[in-house]
Formats: sequence, structure tokens, C-alpha cells
Amino acid sequence: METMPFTSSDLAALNGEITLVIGACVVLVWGAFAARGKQAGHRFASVTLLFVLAAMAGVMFGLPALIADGVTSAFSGQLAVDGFGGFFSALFLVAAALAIGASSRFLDDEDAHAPEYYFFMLTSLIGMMIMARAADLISLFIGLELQALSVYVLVGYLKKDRRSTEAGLKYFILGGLSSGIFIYALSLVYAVTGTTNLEAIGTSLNVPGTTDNPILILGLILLVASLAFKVAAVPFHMWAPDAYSGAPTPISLFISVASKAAAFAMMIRLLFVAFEPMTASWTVLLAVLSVATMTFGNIAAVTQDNVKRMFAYSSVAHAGYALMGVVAGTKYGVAAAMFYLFAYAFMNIGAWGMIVLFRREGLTCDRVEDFGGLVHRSGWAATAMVIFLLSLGGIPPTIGFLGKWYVFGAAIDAGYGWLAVVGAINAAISIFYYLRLVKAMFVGEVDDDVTLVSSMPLNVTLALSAAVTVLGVILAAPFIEWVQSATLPF
Amino acid sequence: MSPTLLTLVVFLPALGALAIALLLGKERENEIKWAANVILFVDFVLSLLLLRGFDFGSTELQGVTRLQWIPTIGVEYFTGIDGMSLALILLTTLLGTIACLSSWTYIGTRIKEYYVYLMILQTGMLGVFIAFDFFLFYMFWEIMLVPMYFLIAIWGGKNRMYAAIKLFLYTLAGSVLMLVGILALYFYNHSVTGEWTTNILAYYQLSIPADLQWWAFLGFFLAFAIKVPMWPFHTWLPDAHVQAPTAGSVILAGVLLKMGTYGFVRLSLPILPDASIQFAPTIAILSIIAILYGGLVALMQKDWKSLVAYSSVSHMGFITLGIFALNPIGLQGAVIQMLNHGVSTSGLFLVVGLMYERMHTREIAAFSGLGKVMPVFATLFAIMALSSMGLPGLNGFIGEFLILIGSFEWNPVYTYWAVWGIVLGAAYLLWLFQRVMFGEVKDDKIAALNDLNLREIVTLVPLAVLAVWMGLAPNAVLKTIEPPVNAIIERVHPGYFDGSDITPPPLPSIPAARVAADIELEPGEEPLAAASQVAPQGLPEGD
Repeated sequence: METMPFTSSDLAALNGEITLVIGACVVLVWGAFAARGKQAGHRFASVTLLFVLAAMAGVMFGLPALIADGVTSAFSGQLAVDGFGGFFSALFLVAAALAIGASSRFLDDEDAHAPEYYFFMLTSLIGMMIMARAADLISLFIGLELQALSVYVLVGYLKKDRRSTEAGLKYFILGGLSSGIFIYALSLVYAVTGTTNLEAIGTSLNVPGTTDNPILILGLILLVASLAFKVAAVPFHMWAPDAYSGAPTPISLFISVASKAAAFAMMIRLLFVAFEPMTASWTVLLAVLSVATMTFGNIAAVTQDNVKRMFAYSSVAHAGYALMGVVAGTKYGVAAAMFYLFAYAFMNIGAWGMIVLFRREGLTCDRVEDFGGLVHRSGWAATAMVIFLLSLGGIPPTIGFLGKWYVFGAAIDAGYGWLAVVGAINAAISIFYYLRLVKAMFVGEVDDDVTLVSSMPLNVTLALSAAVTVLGVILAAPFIEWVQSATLPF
Repeated sequence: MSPTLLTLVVFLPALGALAIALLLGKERENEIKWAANVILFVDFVLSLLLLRGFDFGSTELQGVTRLQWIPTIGVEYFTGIDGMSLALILLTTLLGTIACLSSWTYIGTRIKEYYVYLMILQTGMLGVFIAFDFFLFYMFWEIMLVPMYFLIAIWGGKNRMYAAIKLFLYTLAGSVLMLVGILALYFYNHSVTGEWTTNILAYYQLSIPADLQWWAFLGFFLAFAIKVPMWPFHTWLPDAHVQAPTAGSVILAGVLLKMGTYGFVRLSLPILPDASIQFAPTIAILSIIAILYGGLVALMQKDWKSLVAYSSVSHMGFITLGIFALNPIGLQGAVIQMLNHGVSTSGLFLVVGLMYERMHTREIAAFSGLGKVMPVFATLFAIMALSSMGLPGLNGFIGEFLILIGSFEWNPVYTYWAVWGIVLGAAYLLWLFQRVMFGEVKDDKIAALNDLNLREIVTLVPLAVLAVWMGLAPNAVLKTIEPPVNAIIERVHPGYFDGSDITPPPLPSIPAARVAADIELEPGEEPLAAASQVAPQGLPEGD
């Protein structure tokens, strides 16, 4: 045994997470003493944002320096130090920063207590970052649970709102169930391979004959099922529409992007590192899930009159597109899935953020008609929303189009041409419901009971999201290079 | 000719739209109208300057801009034109100007938005004709849909929402399948050459295996057939046309439908020659059904505008028949007919729009004796109708005649059936003319109609002049499109010209990439230049 349980480079590898832990403590302790009031929400938002940006700097500058020094793992192989983890960490942090912009005024309007809200947002971020970087089943599960438990609270945060409370409870029960299945699957894998380290699992599965073990196959199936739950893939998506539509809107925005991306990061690392020898088996499972997810998600979204539910189902469908990249089972596919999640983050945050704008008699409102005649009230807002919707539908010149180009390409490259065709048809279906909103905004009547509650932080969130959604395709070269250099090494 | 000019022609309308959106408040309606009209007219004049120094005998791309865009996946900003593109660009800028001018009084609400969409639409359409990179091509191809959707959804008739969404979904469904086809070719190209590229010209040099050709052709075919639209994919067209405002119909019939046939000629034939031959009989039969069905349905229409819309289905059937005759005469006829149809059908839609603006109805039965009340209108309408039905001496005749010769050379049976389309065309147009122009002046409303004012005459006269000029001197146009057409036929049927005195020119070769610094950039272009300095490199290999 070494005398020190960890080294300084281990700590350096965690600089982002450590920053967030400090931030979480600061917010929590300060929150206990600070007086409640209208301005309090803004102050907590600013402090949280500061820590998120500091963590971002740690991830963007500290991590590459470590990688350049040849560090590949930290804490005796518990955490991987690689561009893949860095990419996803950066993505979560950006999503959190944008979500804070959407939350700032929202919490005051809802008269919700801000400190714990931001505390849980920070802890969930830490969990996500560990999920994306864990190189061991133990740390993976810790990250997952930290993320999940924080998010359950956030979904049910508006305690006076029945929908929010109900959503939190549903999400908690179903999420707990899936976590149980997940850890059961991990125990089966451990039983066969005798190790919790992902790479060691991969090595031991390479021994001929191991992969035929029925216990392992059961483990893999349960594992894929619980991962499918976490990314909200059909038929394991049941929680998602309720959780997304019941949660406070900025939280829907946050979890539909960040939690989903974290689950994808975990899924990709597990499958591509530990289960690489069984690629042929899990790609088939995921291909079926992908088809079911995008088709069902889109068809269900078509029937919704409530914008939050519509976007909830649309988020489900988008998990199906991102799955196409994973299904490909190639490095190209991973890069495609990563880019898709990157693109999805901005367009989806923008679209959800727009819902935060609308209030009827002081309450949030989210029917399609509430968007009526938006172009007459704010040409900027309507234009931004059109950009987000077109991007979600994969219409150029938006980043969503480049994302679709990439994942369809990955599927075709891997011999899943039929999957790309299904995806293409789905993209056409999805336009049908996105256009309903466009129609409401440009042709519909203005409802005078609906007011637009904009605020500087929210406007910044929307403007940044819109800018990336459009410029992301025109200036795509560095982003594409980033995801290609950050795909998993295998 | 200079690349800068070409870039300017394409992006000027979008820049103008941006300027109007940002600088002019929506209450300054007159200034917005003037600005839009002037910008589009200037754009038309600039596009005429493209003719200066254009080498008509060459198939090579001219006015080429090639900039790195997303080097790691081989995407470039690659634009240029050949004779066919040039002709279609001129048609587009002319029709754009006319459509804009025709909207002066027709559009009474939300003026600012209207002109912004119209101008963005213009850039999208022009872009399709200059893009020689699949990624860029697809971008322009899809961008068009959005402003068109708005034009119909906001300023359309009673059923406009249904028509707009139908147009969007139909076209999009085809386009995304084309995208899958493009990607399949993209990965095939990489597997053969080891290079990631979306350069369309690079694909002209591939020999693609038959089964991949078949599938890719199917994807492209659906996109283009819906856009043309070929029977049985045409059902969005009458809805869209009937609901669209006049300018929307003019652009839709004049330019948007040409995208489909342009795609066949530019992409399907040279990239997928074997599959084109294989699909040709099927497409010929679909074309003939379109010709006859469109004509018969047009004959039955009670609505003036839907009559013209169905006549489009019929006329576009001629064009697809000519393309898939896969011989030089048929293809030349098809390309020239694309221009003709743009001129005459747009003219007919303008005519309908002018009457609708006066009478607020398009019911054919509501009109009679217009010829006595509106002699100028009657004359211009007559020219457009005669040109559309293919009267010798006017433009429509040249195109249809060449197409029929081409299809006769291929298979006389097809020609036999197609000829009936011309008979039908004469029937529905003349009958329409007779019903609305002749007869007694039915009521006071008609008697009180004003003849065309100067602005309205100005919108129709250029088209009438073109119809006569292209009918009398088709060689000017034919010589522009002949070299590219011959090159494409040689690609589809290698050795076709053996034994004749024609030496087919080569397909356009890939021009050397220019350094970004050589090119003066439009403001909107800077991002591309910024990305252009990165050297191309390969992608990681898939497992």
C-alpha cells in the first residue's frame, strides 16, 4: 500500500469537481443566513454562475494540461483523465450556465427559495461530471446516484405546485427502480469478470468463451435496459414526459440536456470500453431502441397541445437520433453522438428557455396557443424560436442539421442504412409539430392575458443559444475537430 | 467573369433582407417596398453582367469560389456556374424582380416581413444553382422551404395553413431521403478514394456499383420527383398554388419546380448514370401519366388558378420525359423547357393574380367579356397562353418540339402519348381564354374594371418579350446549354457521339482551390474565410 491515498495530480484531475463542491458549500451556508427577498435569487444565481465558470476554466485549461503530461487516470483508476470526459464536463457546465440564466428570475416569480435550488444544481453537476469520467463501476455508480438524487429534488422543487411534486415523486420511484436494475446488472458483470475496472472488464471479456456466459448476457441486457431508462429511450421513457413537463421549466431545460448527455457519456464509456468485445450484441439492442425511441417520441409529440409535453416527447425522440451514433459502434459514431448532443444542448435549451418567457396571470403557461402572435410582440423572440425549432427539426442552416448529417452518416457508415432512412422519415414527422408552434407564433392571434416576462439573464441564455445554433454550422470546423479529437480512445 | 460578382448576385437579396429587417421600421411601408424592389432589380442587372465574359462553349465551371469550410469532414464552400446554371440564375433574378413588383398592392398586411421572406427565398433559390458542394447544395435546397412556408401561411388564401404545411412536409420528406442518398455516396467515395469530400464534381468521376446507384437514385428521385412534382407526388402543388399569394405562385412555378428537374440533370444523371438508364422507362411512364392527367384535370377546373396549377403538372411531365429520353435533343429540350415553363407559367399566374386583385374571385364562371374591357390585359394574357400551349413562333413550341423529337428517338410510343398533352394544353388554355375574354360583359363589376396600369404592364411585358424572343431565336439559349448537355449524355451513354461530328466536351473538372485572400468577401461570408485556412485532414477510421 502507498502511504498517500492520492497524489497531487489526482487532485488536479478533479479541479472542476472540487470547485463545484466549494461552490455548493458556499451557496448552502450562505443560504442559511441570507435573508429571503426579491433580490436574493439574483445574488445566488450570480455566485453559482461564478463557480460554474470557474469549474469550466478548470476543465478547459487544467484537464488538457494534465493530458499533455501523459496522465490517463486518477485515484488508482477510478477516474479517467481524457478528452472525452472533458468534452462532456464542459457540455454540462455550459448547460448549467445557460440554465442558471433561465432560472434567475423564474425562481423569484415562483417565490421559490433559491439557495437549495442552486445547491442541488451544483451537486447534480458534480455527479454528471463523475459519470462522464468514471473508469470504474464503483465511481460510476456514485456519480450516477449523486446526479439522480439531486435531480429528483430539483424536479419536485416547486412544493406548492402539484404537477411538480407529482413529477418529482414519479421520477424518484422509477429512477430508484432503474438504479436498482443498474446495480444488479453491474453485480452480474462483476460476478463473471471479478473486477470493477472498466478496462479490466474489457480485457477479461476478450478471453474466448466468456461472452457466451448466460449470466453475463443477462447482465448486459439489464445494463442496456437501465441505461435506456437513463437516456429516456422507448420503452423505458415513461418517466420522461411527466418529469420534464412537471418540473420547473428551467430544470426541464437543464435535465433534458445535461442529465441526458451524462447518461449518454456513461453509456458510451461502459459499452465501448468495458463491453467492446460484445459490440455485436449491444448494437442490435440499441438499434431497436433507437428506432422505437425516435418513432414513438415523434408520434407522441405530434398529439400534444401542451408545449412542455411536446418538447418532452421531442427530447425523447432526440435521444433516439443520438443513439444512432452509438449504434454505429465506431469511433466515427461516437464523435457523431457527441456532436449531436452538443448541438441538441443549445437548440433544446433555447426552445425550453423560450417557455420560461410566457406567463398568464402570474403563472407559467405552456399551451401552444400561448405562443400566439409572438412575432407581433417580439420579432427577436419569434425569430430565435424559429431558429431553435428548425434546428430541432434538422433544417439548415442550423447546427441541428449538421448533427443529423453526422449521426445519419455514422449509421450509414456502419452499415445501418435502413436506420438512417428511419431517422430521416422521423425528421420529417417531427417538423409537423415544430411547425405548429411556428404557425402559432406567426399566424396565431395574440392573447392579451399572456405576458412576456423577460429578464437580462434569460435574454442572454436565449441569445447565446440562438447564436450557437446558427453560427455552429457556419463556424463548425473547430467544434467538429473537438469532438473528433475527444472521441474515446479504443 | 468574376467570382465576386457571382457571390454578390446570390447573397445580395439576403443582405438586403437583413438590412430591411434591421434598419426599416415596419410602419415605413413605402420605403420597404422601394428598397426591396430596387435591391432585387439591381440584383437582376448584376446577374446580366454575368453574361459578360462568360465562355459559352465551355463546360467548365466559371466564377469559381472554393473555400475550406469544415475540413475534417471534407465540406467546402464551393460555388460556380456553367451554362445551365447561368440560364436558371437569370430566370430566377428576373422572376424574383417581377414577383416583388407584382406584390406592390397585392400584399396589404405585414409588409416588412413579406419582403424579408421574399428576399431570403431569392438567395436560397439562387444558391442552389451555384452550389457544387453537396452540403452547401442541401443547405440552400432546404433554406428555401422556410420563407416559402411563411409566404403561403401568412399571406395565402383560406386554406393556407393546410397548403403551407403540406408543401413543407412533402418537400422535406423527399429532401431528407436525398440526404441519406448523399451520405451513402459520401461514405462510398471515402471507401474508394480514401478522401472525405462533398464536392459534387468529385462524384462525377466515380463508378458506383449498381446496387448503391439504385438506392441512391431512389433517394434523389423522391426528393426531385416531389419538387417537380411528378405524378403521383403532385398533390401538394395545386393546394400550394391556389393558396399562395401571386408572387408565391410565380416563384413556385417559375423557379422552385425547376429545382427538381435541375437536380435530375445536375446530380442524378452524371453521378448515377446506370441507375438513370434503369429508371428511365418508369419515369417516362410517370411523366406521361402526369402530362395526360394534368391536362385532363386542368380541363375540368372551375378555378382559374388551379387550372394553371394543373397545367404545370402537365408541362413538368414534358420536362422529365425529355430528361430521361437520355439523348442530347431530349435533354436540351428539357432544359430549355425549364426556362420556357418559368416564363409562361409565371406569366399565367401573374395574369390570374391581377384579376384576383380586381375581382376577389378566381371562379372562371365569374368572368366573361374581359377582352372588351381590358384590351391590354387580353393581349398579354393571349401571348402567355399561346406560349404556354406551345404555339410555333413562341418559346413553348421549341421546348416541347425538341422533347418530342428526343423521346421519339428513344421510343415512339412515349411520343404518341405525350403529343396528346399538347392537344389537351391547347384545349384547356383556349377554352379558358374563350370563357373569360369573349362573350358579353356580364355585369357592372366587370364593366367597371380598369385595364392594367403601368406597374402591372411592366411585370408582364418582360415575360411576353422573352416568350417571343426565345421562340424566334432559341439558338442563343441552346448554345449556352448544349455543351453541358452533351457532356452529361456522354457520361450516361459513353460513346453516344461516336460516328457523329460532335465531340462531346468533358464534364466539368474540379477547379483548384483558391486561397481565401484572393477573394473579396461579402460581409456574410467572413466565417467561411475564417475556417478556410485549416488544412484538410482525414477523419479517424471507423472500426
